[in-house]
Amino acid sequence: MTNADFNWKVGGAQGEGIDSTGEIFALTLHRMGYYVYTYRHFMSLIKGGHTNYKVRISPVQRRHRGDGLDLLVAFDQGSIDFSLPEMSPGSAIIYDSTSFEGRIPEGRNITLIPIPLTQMARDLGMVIMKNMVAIGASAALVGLPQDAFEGYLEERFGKKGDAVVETNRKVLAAGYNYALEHTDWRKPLPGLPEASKGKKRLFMHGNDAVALGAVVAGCRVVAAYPITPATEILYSVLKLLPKYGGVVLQAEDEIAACQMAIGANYAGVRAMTSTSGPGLSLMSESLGLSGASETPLVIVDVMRAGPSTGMPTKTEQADAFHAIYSAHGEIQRIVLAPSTVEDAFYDMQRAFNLADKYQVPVIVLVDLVLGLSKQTVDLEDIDFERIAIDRGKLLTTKDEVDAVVARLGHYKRYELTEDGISARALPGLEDAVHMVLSYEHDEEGNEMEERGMRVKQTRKRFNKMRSLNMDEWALRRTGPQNPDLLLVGWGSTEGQLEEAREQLTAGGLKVAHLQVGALYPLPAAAIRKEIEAAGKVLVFENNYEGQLLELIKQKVGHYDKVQASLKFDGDPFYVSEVVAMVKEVA
Amino acid sequence: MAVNLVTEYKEHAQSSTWCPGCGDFAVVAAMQKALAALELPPHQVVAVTGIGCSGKFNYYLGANGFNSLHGRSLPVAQAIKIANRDLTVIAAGGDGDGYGIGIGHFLHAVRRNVDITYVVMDNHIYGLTTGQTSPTSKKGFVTKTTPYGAAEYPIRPLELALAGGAGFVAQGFSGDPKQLAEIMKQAVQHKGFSLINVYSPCVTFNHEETYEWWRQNLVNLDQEQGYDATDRTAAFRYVYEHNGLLRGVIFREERRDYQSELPGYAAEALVRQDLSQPVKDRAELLAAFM
Amino acid sequence: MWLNASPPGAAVPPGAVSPKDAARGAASPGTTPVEPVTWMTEAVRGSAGGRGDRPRLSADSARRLARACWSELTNHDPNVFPVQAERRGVRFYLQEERGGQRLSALVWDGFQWRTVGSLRLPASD
Repeated sequence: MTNADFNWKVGGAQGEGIDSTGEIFALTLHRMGYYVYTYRHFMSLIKGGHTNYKVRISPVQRRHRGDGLDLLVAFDQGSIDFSLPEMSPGSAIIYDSTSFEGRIPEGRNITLIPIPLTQMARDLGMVIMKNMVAIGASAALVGLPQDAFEGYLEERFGKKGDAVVETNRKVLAAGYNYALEHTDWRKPLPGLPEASKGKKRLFMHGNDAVALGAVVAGCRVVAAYPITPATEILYSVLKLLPKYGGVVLQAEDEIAACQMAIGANYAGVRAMTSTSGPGLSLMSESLGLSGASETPLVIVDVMRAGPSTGMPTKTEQADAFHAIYSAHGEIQRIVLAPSTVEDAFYDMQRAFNLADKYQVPVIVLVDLVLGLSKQTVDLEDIDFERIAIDRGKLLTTKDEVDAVVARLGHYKRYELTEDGISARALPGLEDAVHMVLSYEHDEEGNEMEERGMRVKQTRKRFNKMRSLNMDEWALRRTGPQNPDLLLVGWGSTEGQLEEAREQLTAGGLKVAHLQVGALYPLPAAAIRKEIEAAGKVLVFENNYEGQLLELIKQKVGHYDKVQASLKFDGDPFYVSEVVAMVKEVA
Repeated sequence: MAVNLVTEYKEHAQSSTWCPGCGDFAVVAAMQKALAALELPPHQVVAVTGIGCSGKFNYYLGANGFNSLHGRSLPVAQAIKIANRDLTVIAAGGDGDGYGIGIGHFLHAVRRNVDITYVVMDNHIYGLTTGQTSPTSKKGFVTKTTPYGAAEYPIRPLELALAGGAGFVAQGFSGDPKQLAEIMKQAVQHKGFSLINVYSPCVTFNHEETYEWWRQNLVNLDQEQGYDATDRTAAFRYVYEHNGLLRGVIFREERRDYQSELPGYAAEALVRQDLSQPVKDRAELLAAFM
Repeated sequence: MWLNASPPGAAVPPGAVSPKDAARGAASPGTTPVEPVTWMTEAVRGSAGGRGDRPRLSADSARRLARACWSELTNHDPNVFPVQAERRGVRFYLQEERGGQRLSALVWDGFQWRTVGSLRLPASD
C-alpha cells in the first residue's frame, strides 16, 4: 500500500527558500486532490545548515511522512548525503549541476539527474527562481502537466504584475522541458480517484488546528512569547482573531504570557498561551496560581526535544511528566494529548470547556511533528457543528448573582459545594465583589491558615475532578480483540503505529493499536482492560524515560508484559523502525 | 455619594494585618477616596497585587481583587483591562515586588501602555520578610542581608518610567494622604498606563527613612512655581537633580493607549462578545487553510 | 513589666487586645471600657522608657507623658498621616478602622518597633 504513495523532497541550505519550494509543491498537489503530508527538517538558524522539506503524496489520507523517497531535489551535496538512507530503490536525484557534481555511493539503484538549476534561472530571470526550475523538472518526471502550477503562480505572483507571473511560468517551463529532454527516468504519481480530483480539502498543521480550534471554542485572548515550534499558533490566531475583536499579544516573556492568560480568564474571556518546553518551565508558578486560585487556564505546549535548550527544531514527547507534575504543592490539572490535526482542533474546545467547568489549568501537549507538519485534512472532519461552548458555573449577570445571594446571603467565590466547584462571578457584577487568591483561603476569599478550612479547601480542589471520566473518549483503538500484541502510542505516532499495524497484520500477526489522547487524568480503567486482554504490550514514545509507560505503571498497574519502545534522536519513527522493534519481541 | 462609596469600600475590605503606622494604610485610604470621588463603586474596580506587605492592598481596599504571585501583578492587570475595558484596573505592589522580581513586567507595561494605574508602595526595604535590602534601598543601607551596607546602587523608578515613555508619572507620600488621593484621581482618569510611586514608610524596619525624614526631604511639586509637568526632558532633569525626592505629578502626556492600537478591538468589552459567531463563519474561517 | 515581656504582648493590660487579636480585628475582650490615658499610662510605665535599662517612671510622670501623647493624637492635623506620638521609646498610633479606632502602643527593642498592645476605641466623632 505504501508503494502506491510518492515521496518527494527538496533539500538545501537554510535561507535558500527550501520551505517555500516544498510548500508550493505540496499545496499544488493538495489542491489537485491528493492527500499530502509534509515534513520539515530544519535547524534553529536563519542562514546555513541543512534543511529539507518532504512531501508524501497519496490518494488516501496519511498521518506521517512515509519511509522511502522517490525523487529528491538537491541544491547541495549535503542534501544528497543526508537523504541517502531514505532513498528507495529505483529513485532519482535532481541536483543543481551549476553548483556541484552530485555523488552517490556505488551500488545504489538511484538515478542522478544533473540539471543546471541556478544557471537556467539566472539566464531566464533571477537566481532565486532556481526553485521554480526544480519544480518544473519534478513535475515533468512525475507525469504532471506543465500547467499544473499555473493556479499557484497566479495566486502567489499575480499581485506583482503579469510580467512576474510570466517570468515564473517561463522558468518553470524551462525546467519542465529540460528534464523531459535530458533523462529517461520517470515515475508517475499514484492515480487519483475521480471523486478526489480537485476536491476542496484543508491544508493545515497541528498548530493551525490549535489556533482554529481555540477561536471556534471562544478563545479571544492569546498571549504568548515566540518560541520554536509554537510560534505558528500565533501567526494563525493573528489571521483569525481580530475579526472577533480578539487580541493576540506578544508578551515580554512566558511568565507574563501565562499570567495574562490567567488575568483574562479571571475577567471572563477565554484566553490561552502557547509555548514549548522552555516556556512551560517558566509557567510552573502560574500553573500553581491557576490551580490554587481556581482560575481557568489553557496552555498549549508544542513539545520540542529537550532538556533545557535541547534541540529546538526536533521532535520529542518528553514533556508529559513536566505537564503533569510541575508547580510546587499539589494542584489539580488536565493534560490532553492530540494525535492528529483533527484531534488538535477538537481538543481546544475540550480544553476550554474543561478549564471553565473545573476551574483548573489545562495543558494541551502537541508534539513538534504534529504541530508543524502541514497535511491534507477532510473538510467534514473539521466539523463546527460538534463545537459546543460550555462555560460551567460562570455567573455573568446580576440575576445569576442575585440567585446566589438569595441562597447564601452573600456571594462566596470559594463556596464549599457538593461537587467541589464554586460559582465563578465575573468581576464587574454588583453584589459579587470578591477576592481571588492563591493564598489558602476560606469560602469568602479571606486569606487564612486555619487547619480545618485548609483541609476542606484542598479536598474541594481535588474533589471537583471526580466527575471527570477520560475513559469515555480519550482512547482510539483499531485491530482485533484479544490481540497477541498491542501497540500503544500518544501524540503524532498514530500514523506510523497504524501503518505498522497494517503491515504486521498482513504478515500474519494479531495486532491491535491503542492511541491515548489524555495523559492526566489517565483513562486508566479503559487502558487496564486493553492491557489485560492483550498478549504483549509495546508503548511507543519519542522520549528516553518511557513517560507514558511510567504513567501506566503508576495509574493502571505494573504488568511484566508491558514494555517501552523508545526513540529520542529528534526524528519521528519510521514505520520500518516500529516493525523492527515489534519483531524483536514478537 | 462619595462618602457613601468610601463606606462601601470599607465594608468590603478585610481586616488589616499591617503594622500600626504603616504607610500603606494611607495608600489604601487615599485610593478609596479617589475612587469614590470618581464615583466608581467597588464592583467596577479590580485591584491586582503580587506578594509582600503591598500584596495585601486589595484585601484592604474593598474592591474586586486578584492576588497574583510575587512580581506578577502587572501582566494580570493588563489582561483584565484588555478582557473587560469597562473595569477600572489598579495594580499595586511594593519596591521588591515591582522593581525587583517584577521589574521586567514594569518596563514592558510602561511601553505597552494599557490603561491601568500602577501604585508602588516604596519603602526601600523588604518588610514582610522582616527587613532585607530592597532594589530601591540606598547604597550603603544596612539591613539583615546587607550587614556591611548595600553594595548596589538603587533602582530609580521615576527615571525608568520616564525613559520607557510613560504617559503619567507621579510620586506620592503616605504622610500627605490628601495630595496622594488627588494624584490617584488623576492617574485613574489618565487614559493609558500611569505610575504612582508612593514613599510609604516602613515604620517597623526602616529607621532611617521615617515620616519625619521624608517630610523634611521631599520637594512638593504642587508648591514649585514654574514646574512644567508636560515637558519630559525637564521632568527627567528635575527628578535627577532632586535625586527622586519629589512628590506630585511629575509628568503627563496624552498618548494613544495599547487598545487603541489594536485592529478590530471592539468598543463593546471583549468579555461580552458573542462566542458563537465563528461557528457561523465556518466557510470563511476554513478558507484560510485551503 | 508587660511591655518588656518576651515574647512581646505576653501580658496585656485589661481592655487591651493582643497584637494577634488586633490583627484579626477582634473587639476588646475587657468588660470595663478602658480610658485611653490610663491605658497609655500603663504602657509608658511598663516600658520603663523603652529599653528596660532605664529607671521606671513615677506614676505621675507616666501619666503626664501619656496625657501629652493623647493630646497630640487627638489634636492631629487630619491631612497628615499617621496619627502618631512618641516619647521615651514608646510610640502610639491612633488609626481608623472599620466601625471605630484603634490605639496601638509600640516599643523599640533595639532593632525594630514591636507592637505590645492595642486598644479598640469606639468611633470618636
